Amino acid sequence: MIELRDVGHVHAAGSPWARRALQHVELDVAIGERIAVVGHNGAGKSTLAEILAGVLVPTEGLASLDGTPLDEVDGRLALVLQQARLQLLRPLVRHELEVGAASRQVRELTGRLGVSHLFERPVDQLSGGQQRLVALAGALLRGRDVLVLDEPFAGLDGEASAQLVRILDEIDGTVIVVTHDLAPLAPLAPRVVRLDRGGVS
Amino acid sequence: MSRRSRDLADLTVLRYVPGDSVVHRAGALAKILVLVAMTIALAARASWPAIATAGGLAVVGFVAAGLPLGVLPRPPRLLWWGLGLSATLAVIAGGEPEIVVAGTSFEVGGLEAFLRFFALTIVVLGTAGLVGWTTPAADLTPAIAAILRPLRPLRVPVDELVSALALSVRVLPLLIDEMRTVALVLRTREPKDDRKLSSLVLDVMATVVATSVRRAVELGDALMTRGGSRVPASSTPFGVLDGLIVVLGVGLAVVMVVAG
Repeated sequence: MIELRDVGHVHAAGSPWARRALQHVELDVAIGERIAVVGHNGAGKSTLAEILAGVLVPTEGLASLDGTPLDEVDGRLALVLQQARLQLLRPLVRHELEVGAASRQVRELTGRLGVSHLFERPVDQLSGGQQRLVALAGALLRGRDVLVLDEPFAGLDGEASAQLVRILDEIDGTVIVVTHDLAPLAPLAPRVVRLDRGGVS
Repeated sequence: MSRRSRDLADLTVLRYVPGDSVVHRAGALAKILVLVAMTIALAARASWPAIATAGGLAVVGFVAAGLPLGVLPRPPRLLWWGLGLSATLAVIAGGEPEIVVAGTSFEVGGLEAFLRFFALTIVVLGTAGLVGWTTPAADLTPAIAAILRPLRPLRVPVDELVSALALSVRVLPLLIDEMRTVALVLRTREPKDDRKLSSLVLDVMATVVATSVRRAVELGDALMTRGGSRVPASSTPFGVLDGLIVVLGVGLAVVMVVAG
């Protein structure tokens, strides 16, 4: 169970440029649950996504997975960013996806995600949407059981969005999607968490 | 206790702190001229009295500007470890002068040189920070253009240099944003990456360069559609206060060089 207790975050806290992104967030996410976090621009969605993925420590409150602070959880959490190019640290898609998984598993997953034809392509030659799909494939192949996706549908066409939702639906683990647009997620029937001015409403 | 308490999003470079102090009201040109004079003086005569004088001026400016202590950056722990290691090596290096403690003599020349260099770095960065915190970024470029303008007859490409400088200032937040993203990504990678550190560092550098080049191209295209990157003329005239600040600052710099 992921638990957020009175979580708040202030960027550049203690400086004259301090900016509050989140306040008093209470959230429980069961393992295997599907969650959609929605909100307007500046509502704190990306900050919440980073906290849920354990890469940002909240300045207030406690965020934990089964009692362990999220930032101390190793190898279970994954974050797929909207600007996924910076997540792909190896030159070719093939290099990025060779992460110890069996080649059959890699072929099967990349086939389902529709990126198998990109295997020999340099990551720089992929579109933004393709880069995000490759980043997602990498996270799934690494066997993470909590997936946090920040605006995953940005730049994807309707067919690619539908395919992505089907893939997410087949995942056994927890899926948390941060988005401003709920429509593509309808088939996933997620629990919807609304963020408004930094708090859950 | 948390393992990660720092976030690169908190890193602020050349960020203006609004205010109405005498330091805020002074023009960018005057402040940059004093900064240049102090830097030249310290480069010419990096003695303890000169460093203390420049540091004192920076502290007076800081207090006069009414800046909160929160503007001061909090360096990562790794930097303090690096400085500790450097200081240790400086102690081992020895050198004149020699001091005697409890009957044992130590050569502290290396440590003294290290501490002097460290203090000089802090003073120069602090003075530059003072200019950044009290001057809107948009005022910096015209001021630098005014300083470099006399070099034009020598066929120095002043406009190009100033444009490049202005763009550098403008892309700083973008670079910090990209550094932050890479740092986030590294935290979500394998806990035990079997690759060598050098290989990972090379991959990270290649990724950052590739995305930065792409962003630079996009920024260039955006600028061209807006008619290029002309350097605006300074909107604030050089006033009496500016003249006074330049005379005092440059005068102090001259004294630092002459008196040592």
